[in-house]
Amino acid sequence: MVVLALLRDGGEMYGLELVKESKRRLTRGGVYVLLDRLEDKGFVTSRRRPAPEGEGGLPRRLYSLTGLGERALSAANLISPAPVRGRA
Amino acid sequence: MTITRNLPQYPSARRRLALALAGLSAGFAVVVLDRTSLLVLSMVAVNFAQMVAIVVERGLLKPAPAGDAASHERLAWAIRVRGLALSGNAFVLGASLTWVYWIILSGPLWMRIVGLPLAFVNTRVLIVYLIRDAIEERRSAIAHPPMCRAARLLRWLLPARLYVKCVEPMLADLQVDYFEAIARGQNGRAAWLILLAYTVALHQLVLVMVGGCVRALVPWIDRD
Repeated sequence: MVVLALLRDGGEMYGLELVKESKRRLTRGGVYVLLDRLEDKGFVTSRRRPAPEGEGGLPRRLYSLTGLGERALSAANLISPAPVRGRA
Repeated sequence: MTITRNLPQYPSARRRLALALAGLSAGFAVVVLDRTSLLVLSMVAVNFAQMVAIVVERGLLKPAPAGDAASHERLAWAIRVRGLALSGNAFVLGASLTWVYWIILSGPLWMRIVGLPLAFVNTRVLIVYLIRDAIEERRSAIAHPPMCRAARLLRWLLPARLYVKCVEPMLADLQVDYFEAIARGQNGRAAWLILLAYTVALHQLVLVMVGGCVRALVPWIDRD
């Protein structure tokens, strides 16, 4: 839910940005697997962004929230005693 | 974000030594043909070119690495020019050594006794200078982002989905984090990130291998 809330607040984000914004609630080791599972469920979508011309490096992956993910987050906030917030 | 990446490299220690050895042979030709003025002129020219290249490069390095393509290209050209000057310097230094030895050996006995030990020391200093400088200067430019070769290997070893969805984004983010740490001068953190990347890559590889073994064993277990 933290990932969904962060993506709702921050728009498109990289995995590393999510880890940084989550203030230690997410870890580098786990965030990519988590994002993959969320993508499988249709809550988030991703696209590859190639490295800028002349800079080299691997293409990065940008994640964003889908409509289904937004509805899931709203539903979770409705039943949760404390609404899930992205930026702590 | 300040990133210095994919810059050309200065000539390596091996290349500089090869050039110095070529210079030693060229020095013979200079001495035999009695063209010492040519040698002195080339020494002056090469040293001047190197000095100009250093000034230009440092001037470009101060506002840079700005990250934009134009400043990156200018810096790359400055490094290429200085690399050429360094190669020329190694060659001319080699030639000048031959010249020095020739003068000492063809001189009177006292010159040989005094001059030879000095020339040996100078030769040693020159070789150390060539190698040490080559190593230190190459550190200042990043040739390839870290984990490039490992990423290629992992793409080959790991299942495509695992690589594309989990490993590649993680390595790409680690590369960016690494360049940010280098730009901020946090070399310790950069080293830690490399270690982290290799640990995670190895961890993924072990998991996949264990998973593969388990999958291979399942039919045998079921049969029992």
